[in-house]
Amino acid sequence: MLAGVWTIYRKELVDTLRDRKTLVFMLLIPAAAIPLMFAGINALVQRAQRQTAVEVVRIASDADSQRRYVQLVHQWFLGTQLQKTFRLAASPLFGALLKPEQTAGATVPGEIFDDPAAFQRWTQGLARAAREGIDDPADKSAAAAQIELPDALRTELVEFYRVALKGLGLVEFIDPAVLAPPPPGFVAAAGRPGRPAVPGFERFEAALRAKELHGYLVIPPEAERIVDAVSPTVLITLIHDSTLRLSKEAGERVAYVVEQAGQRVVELRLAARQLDASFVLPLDMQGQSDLATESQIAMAIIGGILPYFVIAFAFLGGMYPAIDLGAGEKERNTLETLILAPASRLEIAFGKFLVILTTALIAAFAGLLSIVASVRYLDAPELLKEIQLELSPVTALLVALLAIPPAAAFAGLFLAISIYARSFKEAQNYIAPLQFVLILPAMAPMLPGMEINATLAMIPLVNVSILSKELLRGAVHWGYYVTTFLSCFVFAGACVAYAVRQFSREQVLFRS
Amino acid sequence: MIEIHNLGKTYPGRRSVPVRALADVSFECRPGEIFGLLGPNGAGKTTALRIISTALRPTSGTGRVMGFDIVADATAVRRNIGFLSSNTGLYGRLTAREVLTYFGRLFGLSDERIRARIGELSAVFSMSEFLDRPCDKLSTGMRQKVNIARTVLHAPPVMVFDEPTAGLDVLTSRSIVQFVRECRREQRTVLFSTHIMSEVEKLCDRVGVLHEGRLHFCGPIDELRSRYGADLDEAFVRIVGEAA
Repeated sequence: MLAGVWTIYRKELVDTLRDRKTLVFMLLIPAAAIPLMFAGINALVQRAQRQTAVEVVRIASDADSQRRYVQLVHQWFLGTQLQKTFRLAASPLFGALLKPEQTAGATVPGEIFDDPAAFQRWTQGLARAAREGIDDPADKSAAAAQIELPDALRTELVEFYRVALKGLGLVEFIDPAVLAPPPPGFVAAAGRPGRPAVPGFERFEAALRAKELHGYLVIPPEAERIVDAVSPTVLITLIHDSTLRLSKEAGERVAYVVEQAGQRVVELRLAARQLDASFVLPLDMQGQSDLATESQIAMAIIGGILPYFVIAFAFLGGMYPAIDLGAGEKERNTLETLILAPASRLEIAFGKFLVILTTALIAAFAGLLSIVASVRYLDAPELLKEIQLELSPVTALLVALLAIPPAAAFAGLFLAISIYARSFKEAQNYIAPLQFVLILPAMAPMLPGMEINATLAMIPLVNVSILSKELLRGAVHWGYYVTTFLSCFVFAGACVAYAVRQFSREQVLFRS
Repeated sequence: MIEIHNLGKTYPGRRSVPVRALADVSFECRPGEIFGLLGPNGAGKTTALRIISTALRPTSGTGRVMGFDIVADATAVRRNIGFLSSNTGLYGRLTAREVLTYFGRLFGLSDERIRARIGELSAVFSMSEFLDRPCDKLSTGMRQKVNIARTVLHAPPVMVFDEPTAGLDVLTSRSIVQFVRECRREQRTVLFSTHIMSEVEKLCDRVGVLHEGRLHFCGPIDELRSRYGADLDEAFVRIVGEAA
């Protein structure tokens, strides 16, 4: 029995590995998909972030609203630790914002600390000069991260970038009176119910649709006495359209400025009344109470995604060889010769099953290695870059070994289908749609509340995906681990038994 | 030696209406003899040969190959048979040598014996030039040589040929006809199905004429001629006509 299985396995493996299509599905796609995906997503995201980050948004606002807005940002600036550093004319902080060649002549004019309008002009100049050097603050490769700074200052620098440069320096205010009248026949949209009324709304909306304008800002006079007079909350209006990229950006920038400026007002109000910050924050949660380390939290997230890729790659790696080894034999007229050899049908089916299992495993491992290499050597997503992942060799091995059960399940299932099919094309038609059905269990860990239990441990594929998530977050359930292997192997065994039966059925062997 | 007694085969047809492919077929084929199984397309020749070579199970009747029952001792029967048809495929990505080695191992030959047999057969069929080329790169004639070598690699005493020359060019057909003759000279039992009368005349010692699953004549060529006329085509048409 073993000699027969070995003979068939050896021959089929050589035959399969010489097939270019198999090599593409088994090695090239699993190895290249993840790095390409990482590189592609990063490139797109970074490009979009950079592009939006340095673009000027145009906001219509009357002179009073504009002045109040500038005052709010200026007031915020004066409350930062950063402004003290900036008072030193040749602040090294410029190095964090500008390119080295721009830093040389950069100075901080004294009037920015007293005159909001001068502060506005300075931020505009700084922002525009620095446009080329500015990266999104979320991007840790930005200049701000490359110089030695105390953490608090670094945080303030990022805030300065967001509030003063993006929120003010890169905002161009436009007098609503100069807006062109809407074209003939233009009908203004009603917008959401309760939308604040602004004068000349139709002209504003026409300019918004034409992408000449990105928002309409109205700040009521009460905003000017906001520190001294405790009035009802002052509502600031920015009419915009969040479905348009820069209009959405304008909305986000102003909202952030308002939030930060509001916090500054609270600080000033508390200081004026000699009250502590706890006065407005009577209750809070103690930080660092989460027992899970950052690595474990990240692993739990990765654990939700990783099995999806492993299962998908095992599927890809097993699919093509399976079709070739069953239906392909019929199509090439080699099946009859094979069944007339003295090998038993079980030997033939099992030998072929092992080959499909091998290729599915190679694909899954190639995919896993590619993921590890991509995370380590490529621009990985933020989460992975920031956190030092801790993974013990034993856990890594246990996770890697979990590729075996789905590979076995696929190998058995694909072989049974392939032997039943009368041609290569028919087998493809049966197996290809299974991708959608079989990938669903791989998504199980992404569903909320999915934790391994005795029932789930017996469902092939679902058990693998949930268990790898558990393993990655540091929990090893040996009982469920063994159950997972058993359930997938029982499923695979049933499929191989079905394949053996199909190998013995004349209607199947000689279907044409 | 092949002995067939009252062989019958019924396939499950569409809408559960069974289709009878063979009914009550009996014949014998002895060592050193070529027995021709003649019949038009769909007569049941391939079904009969597949049953004898154990690819199919008979619905009724019995058969023995070299004394082994075709149902109960199927594995032993397979070890004693070499089966060849015109459309038998080869594994295109394997070389001719690898294909022969694979089948040699499946038939339980040692690697040493396989090497020796490949050497012998390579000399007989002039295959040394293309033995290490992938089968995909071989011409039809070369492939048929590899197929023949595969069939006789395990030196089976019984050879079954299912229309082995169908669709082949003159030269390749000729080499197969020579090979069939050689099998007879080596005292093998040869069962040969065809509907080409010239091949029957050249090769067969005895013939069986199948039509719609039934054997309408079984005997020496001379007897066929004396009963139905000297021209074999005419004789064949008369038998089929009478049967209809």
